[in-house]
Amino acid sequence: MVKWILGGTMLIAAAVFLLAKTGNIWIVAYITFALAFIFVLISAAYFSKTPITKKVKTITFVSLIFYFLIGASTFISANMRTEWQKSQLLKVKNYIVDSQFKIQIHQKLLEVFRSYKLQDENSHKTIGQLFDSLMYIDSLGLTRTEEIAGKDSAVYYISKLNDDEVVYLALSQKTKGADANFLNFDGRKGRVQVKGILSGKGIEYVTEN
Amino acid sequence: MLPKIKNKPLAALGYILLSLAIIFLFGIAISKFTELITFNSLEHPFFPNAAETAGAVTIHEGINEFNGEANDVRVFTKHSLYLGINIYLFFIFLPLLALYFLRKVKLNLGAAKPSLFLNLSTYLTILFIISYTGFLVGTLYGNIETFQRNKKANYEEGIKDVLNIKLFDVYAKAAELALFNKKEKIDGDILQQLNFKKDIGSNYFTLKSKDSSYEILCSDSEKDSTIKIYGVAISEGKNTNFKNLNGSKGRFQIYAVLDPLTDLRIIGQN
Repeated sequence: MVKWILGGTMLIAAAVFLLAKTGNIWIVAYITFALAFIFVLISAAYFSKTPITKKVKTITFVSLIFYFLIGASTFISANMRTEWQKSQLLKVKNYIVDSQFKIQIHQKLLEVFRSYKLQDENSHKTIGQLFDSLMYIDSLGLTRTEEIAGKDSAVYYISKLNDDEVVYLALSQKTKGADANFLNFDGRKGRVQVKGILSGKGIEYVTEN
Repeated sequence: MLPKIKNKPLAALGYILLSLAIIFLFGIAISKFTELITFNSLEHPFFPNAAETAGAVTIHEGINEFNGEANDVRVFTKHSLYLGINIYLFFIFLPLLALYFLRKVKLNLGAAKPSLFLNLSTYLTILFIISYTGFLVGTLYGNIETFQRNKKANYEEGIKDVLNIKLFDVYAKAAELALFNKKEKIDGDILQQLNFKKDIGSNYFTLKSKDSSYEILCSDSEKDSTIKIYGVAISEGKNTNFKNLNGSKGRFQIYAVLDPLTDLRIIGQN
């Protein structure tokens, strides 16, 4: 019996130690649990030798399988529930970030659009000129950054600026977007990126990732 | 010994309760032990369930991603350890003990002087396993029930989110159209350009979603340049007696105060 207990201890300790390196708790859980099941089945075969009757042996095996099936079901149900909750949490986060970016972009571009549409009859400034005069553009030329307060932050860029059109985009520093391989404006990958395109016709919003 | 307990259901119930108490004591002991050797607290202390421990890590990772923070390796390490101890105790040690006693008790019953301790230990171990199975079934039921409930709640919350986005879209487009047409006020023409429709005798222009999950209402009869755009969803609101603008009762309702010359405010009503 002591040998079996020691064997089980070593098996689980080694499995958790090695599998923890994967960084995925469910891999640790499922494989360790499967190993425990195999180990207990082998030990059941050993312990149910004589004097155990065939009837008791059958009941023992069926009970053990049932016990492990219930155990496996709790793993599967907890995995499904928590993964779903996690995905919903990230969906809400994306929704908040996306809405926040659109509102920020909207406020900037609408200010320019308003100036463009309501300018004096004698004034004939272009969209680009008005954007240039109303917005601060840093010494790097077309790049302008702005931090949003809070845990996450965004950087705003002007990706296009000419007389007829301005493309103003917001790029999250931390929040992941739908496509992990999406190439962001700053050269990184997979972040939320929203852009607003301002022209004489109005503003168009595009969630790029 | 065996027939005596078999004929006393109260004694059996006592053993089950004792087993459950031991399960929880085990939970406390192993969570304290894990906390002690990892110098950190657990997400689910006192809960001797390996599946829930793994679930706690998933939720923890989700919250970190939500906050834009990196995952803490220590949290993963201590939960992996707690998970391993749980699997070991309840899925290796306990079945091994039951198998061992089962074999021993058979020999014991045939002996001249049967050991009371061995009989009792066998009973307790088997009852412990039965109690823990009940505990697992409870967890399983809880998971399925919570999952179903969350899904339903999430569907309704999703409609509110879509309505919020839609309200912003309408507001943004309406503000742009007002400026584009050099109007200081959002009128029926602009609303019609945004696919709003007005029934005869109605005070409101309405825009319904394709699946009828929400409705956006707007009146063009405001006196100044401001305008209110209302959103009513089929999702339940806070007050069940609240009278919604579209005639329904107790539904989620928000409105946006819009002035094309200034800015937007979105306000929750129910």
